[in-house]
Amino acid sequence: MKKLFTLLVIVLVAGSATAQGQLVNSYFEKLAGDDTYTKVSVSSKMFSLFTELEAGSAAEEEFLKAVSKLKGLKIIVADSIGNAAEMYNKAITDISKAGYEELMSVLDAEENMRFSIKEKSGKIEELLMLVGGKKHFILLSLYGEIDLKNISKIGQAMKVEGLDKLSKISE
Amino acid sequence: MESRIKELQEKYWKGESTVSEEQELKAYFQENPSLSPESSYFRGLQKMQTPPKTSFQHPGKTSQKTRWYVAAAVTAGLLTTALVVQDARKQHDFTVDDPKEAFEITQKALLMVSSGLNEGKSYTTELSNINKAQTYLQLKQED
Repeated sequence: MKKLFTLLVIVLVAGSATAQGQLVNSYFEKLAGDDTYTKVSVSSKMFSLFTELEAGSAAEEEFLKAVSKLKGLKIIVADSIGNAAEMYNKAITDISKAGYEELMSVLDAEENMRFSIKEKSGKIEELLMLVGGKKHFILLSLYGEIDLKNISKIGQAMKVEGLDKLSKISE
Repeated sequence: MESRIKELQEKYWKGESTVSEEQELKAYFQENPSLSPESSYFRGLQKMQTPPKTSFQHPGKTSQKTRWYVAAAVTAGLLTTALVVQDARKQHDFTVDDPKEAFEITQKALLMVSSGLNEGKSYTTELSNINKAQTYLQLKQED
């Protein structure tokens, strides 16, 4: 009985280890041979290397703060595909089937965007960003311990930095 | 009674006692324990034959059901391990190995996520402005 229990524990642990980024992984597999889609994966080892970097500017500092607790990034991008809308709709169905919660949706004439999350004991452990335009498609998964505040600050810091540069030009 | 026990004991040691007579002997020493070696011998025999309160299953006699569970768990374990290994191999094909490139990609990706989140936020701000305008208009109408 003890052996059986140990085996079950191993199976469960192995199962949960594959759970993170599972949806994007299934897309990686499906689109493995399709060159119209660019597939990128940044491993947790890389993320641990980033934390050793020193920030040169405020924007970089925000960036490093945001990535400090991340464990992985996976992206699938296509710039010119005929079935972008179809892919977007299929991904939406897959996302809700996989148990992700919708965080935010922006529907536009040009493109649609949806953020979904997976939470565990009150903490966001995966953030999915899905973008579908007329011809482009993006599926992005960020996993680890995600702080939405820190991530949204990156963009703001970059904007401020851009404005600084502009003001210097006018000087 | 004691002569009967002596007689039974003699028969026992000669190997002539019947099963019921042996039972009688064991029962007697169980009820009348003494420090004599015979007494502890027969009590020991009695103990050995009484089934223990907590029963256990002989490992060789594992039930068919448990065997199935073990087999299923082992198969599931092997399958999961195989899938994890296969998955890791597939993922490896797309993994960025150059730290500089990985850093740039992550920076761009996070900037994209961030601006996406902020875009959503600006929509929400616009909505709240509409709400504010509506409340303002309502208040005006009431005046």
